[in-house]
Amino acid sequence: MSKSKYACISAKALAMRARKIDDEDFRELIKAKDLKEVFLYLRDNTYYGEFLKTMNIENLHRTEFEAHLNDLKVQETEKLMHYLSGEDKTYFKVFLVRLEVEALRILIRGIARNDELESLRELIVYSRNYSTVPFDKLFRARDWDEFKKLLINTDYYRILEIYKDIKIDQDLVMVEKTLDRYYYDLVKNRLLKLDKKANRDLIDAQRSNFDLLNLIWIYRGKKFYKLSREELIAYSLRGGLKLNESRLVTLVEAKNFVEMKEQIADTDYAFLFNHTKTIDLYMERRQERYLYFMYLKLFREGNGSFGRVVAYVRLLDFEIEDITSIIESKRYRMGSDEIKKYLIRPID
Amino acid sequence: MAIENVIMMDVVGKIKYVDKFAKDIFLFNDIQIVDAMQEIDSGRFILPIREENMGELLGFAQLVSGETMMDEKNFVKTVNKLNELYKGSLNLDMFSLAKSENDLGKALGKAKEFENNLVVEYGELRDVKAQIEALEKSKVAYSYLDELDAQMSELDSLENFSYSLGSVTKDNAMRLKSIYNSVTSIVFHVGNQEDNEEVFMIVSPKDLEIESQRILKALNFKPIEGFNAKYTESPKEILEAIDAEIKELQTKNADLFKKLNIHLEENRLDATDSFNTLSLYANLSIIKKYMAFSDENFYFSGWISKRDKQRMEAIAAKYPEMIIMFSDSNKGSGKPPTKLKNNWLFRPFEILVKMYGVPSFNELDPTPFLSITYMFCFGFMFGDVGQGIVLALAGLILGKRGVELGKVLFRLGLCSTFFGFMYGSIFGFEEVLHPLWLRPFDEINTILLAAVLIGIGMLFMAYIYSIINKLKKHEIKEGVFGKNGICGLALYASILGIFGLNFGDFSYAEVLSPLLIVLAILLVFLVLVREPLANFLLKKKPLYEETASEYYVESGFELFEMLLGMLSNTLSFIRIGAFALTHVGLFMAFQTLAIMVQNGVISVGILIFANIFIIALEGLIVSIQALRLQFYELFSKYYSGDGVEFKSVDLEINLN
Repeated sequence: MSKSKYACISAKALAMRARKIDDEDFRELIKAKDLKEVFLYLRDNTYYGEFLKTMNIENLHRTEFEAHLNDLKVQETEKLMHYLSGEDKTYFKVFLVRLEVEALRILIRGIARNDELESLRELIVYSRNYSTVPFDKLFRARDWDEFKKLLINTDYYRILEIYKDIKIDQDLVMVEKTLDRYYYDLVKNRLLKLDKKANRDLIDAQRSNFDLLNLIWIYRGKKFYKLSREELIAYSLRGGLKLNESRLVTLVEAKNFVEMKEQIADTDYAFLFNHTKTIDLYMERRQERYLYFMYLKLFREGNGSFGRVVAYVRLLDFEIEDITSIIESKRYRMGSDEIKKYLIRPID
Repeated sequence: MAIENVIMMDVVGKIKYVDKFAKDIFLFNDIQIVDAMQEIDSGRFILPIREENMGELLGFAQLVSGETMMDEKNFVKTVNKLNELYKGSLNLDMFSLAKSENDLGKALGKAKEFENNLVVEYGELRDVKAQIEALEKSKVAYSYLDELDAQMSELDSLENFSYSLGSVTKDNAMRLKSIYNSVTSIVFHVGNQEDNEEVFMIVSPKDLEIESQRILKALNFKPIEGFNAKYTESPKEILEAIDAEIKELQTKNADLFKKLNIHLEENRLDATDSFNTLSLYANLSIIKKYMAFSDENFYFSGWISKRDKQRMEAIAAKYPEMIIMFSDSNKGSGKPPTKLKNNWLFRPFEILVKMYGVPSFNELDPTPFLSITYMFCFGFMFGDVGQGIVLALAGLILGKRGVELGKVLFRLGLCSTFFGFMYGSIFGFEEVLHPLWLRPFDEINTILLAAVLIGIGMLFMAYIYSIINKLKKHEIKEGVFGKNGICGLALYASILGIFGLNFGDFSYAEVLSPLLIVLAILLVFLVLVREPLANFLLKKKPLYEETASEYYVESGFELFEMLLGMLSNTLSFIRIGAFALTHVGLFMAFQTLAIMVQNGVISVGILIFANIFIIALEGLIVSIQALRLQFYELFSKYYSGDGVEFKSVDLEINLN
């Protein structure tokens, strides 16, 4: 029953994946001389072209360029949503919520820096069909209070209302953390409502994602932010696969990095810390590459399942992120080998 | 004819009369206003060049569109305010507007005065409401502590500890619980909020307050408002006191409200007056937005019915130096809107036509033909005296309530009743009435054959409509040689003739039928070469719009489609006979059921249900099928429906 339920959308995801850019395309992009060449290649040779053709090639802004790549994600997520219903559809919507959260993050940072929000419009990507956030009005908000008031009919009001001011750096980091926590709690709660039997692999994958995010958070919170154990717990995510509440608490209580490393030696996540010099630099990439392979597996083996569809969107995320990395690398004039190190997708 | 002739009216007048003229237009109503600026820009607004028109002509050089000058928002705002105060009970009175002189200044002044008088009463009301709201908040806040057996004053005056109540989401409550044992405060779970958040009371030492606050902030802890140092008793006593206070304020609120209403009623006349005048001016501003203005003159354009020409001229004559001009739709003054005019019998069916598209100004209005055949088909398929009367009554009631389709339903119901008498059927029973024509189930072949014959008749009419429409548009190619033109009609007739001769028993059949076959082949050939033929006759070059080979491939397929279409369109009408049979058959099935149960009450129940079922479901299906015949089989032949609807001046501004 569950097989036939997702047969159609899973086949659709398979067909959509086939049209995605491949290693060969990535090699071309890495080879490109500058930002303009990357742009032209994407515009003329890939399905991103549709979203890039309105952009002015003579006046390319890196960040705007990146934002337009995400237009594709909105379109494809909405397209796939037509095939879903009930809890599945509700869960699937989290991908649009993710963009909403990112957009709010950009705007809130703009407010904290006293930027003209209107100038950020090109960077904002969201689903016009599903988002309840009144972005058009937000661009015109003059200050933090006005900004918050505009969000009164959304979940975000509750999150932001306790912040009287957003000027202090510390506040900004915490607001962003709080938004993230809201998003992942939403993902967790919606994940719990999915049919457990049919979606076992998908649920496990998402829960490992929580574990990895928690490990990185605790590691960084201790090292860079010097947060108290209570705060570390307060911002940690729930619903992890291997790291339950008590394990999280012991991790937080670890006296030093070595102790932390020992605690997770028995899990799949040991790879995060199994390096000597480059932990901080590549930590995120390592995490994402782990997820990349996990979702690739979920995609390949998830014939006729909802998991394949979710994996499809996640893989698209990674693809866009990689293109973004390539675009950024052009600014720093990195060599091909250097670029490849920063990509999630392994390219040789 | 059913499509009324419209003409374009262009007016130039002195600016000092613009308000009065706009009011005349507003009251006249039956006019479709066009943006004058656009008319002038496109060169369609032409003044005759004469000496006395000099000023008006020169004005063209300094025109400004009314769009940029007029703003009705202020009027609308005041009108809305009045409307809100009286809860929408004020109505626009066209009659008094027409005869009185309305002074805008006076009306605005009055409305202002009116508003000022209300400010005091409104202010008091708002205060009371705010107080009640604050009390409700406190009530919620203290109710979390209602089991606390201590005086609030004691809590408020603790020396080394402070307390706060607040809520966190369920997920954050879980996080809070896992750090219970290590936080620097005492945490009590005191309840749940309506929105599913959990409420905690935090008591922390004052020395460590900053740290506690940091942790609480990290958990997105939202303090609960409403605690007030003026409440010193125990929470239970406080709650009682608050309840009493709320009750008192509510009576006060009711009193104030009563007073306000009395005041409003006393001033109803004045308010109505202001409402009328301001609504009028808001409407006039909207009309003026479509005008263009020079220093001295205003320019106005709009479509009116041809028969209203004299009335408009009479209006213009009231104003000195007003120039009014009319131009015919044929003279290329833009695409004229279509104004339908049908008698009471056909008018409701316009809505069905518009569903497909508004007729173009230069084609025949299909409404009368559609009305007659639609009613006929429906009646034929759904002939029953009783059920027809039920439908007619339902339609009558809906129509009275303003549902336009109700009027259609009323007419359909009557036709159904008529055919009910023809078939001798009442509420499905065939024993009561004697049929005037036949009983469908007894003569199945007759019914089906009749259906096809009716269809052939309707198709012939569609061909004729199509030919007239195409010739009116001077389309020789399609009108004369096309598949829906004269050739198509002749071909259809001759094919029917061949069939008829071979299946019937006619003398001369041997002579006639080869003749007809030759004719048919000739006609098919004509349709095939219609484009070069028409171009040749009209002496147009080149003969083909695309390459000749492409044309013939395309045209060949079209030919194939045409011949198939003739067959399928004709046979398609069998359905009206088939549904006439279904109608009887469906009831027979229920009747058999009713007999089988052998229980009087249940039998009657089944028969009643059967009738409801048939009226609702079969009625729907039949009306859709009849409409399908119209749209698919007939409209596709002769009707383009790419016109623009005539829209008269909107009577009321948007009140929102």
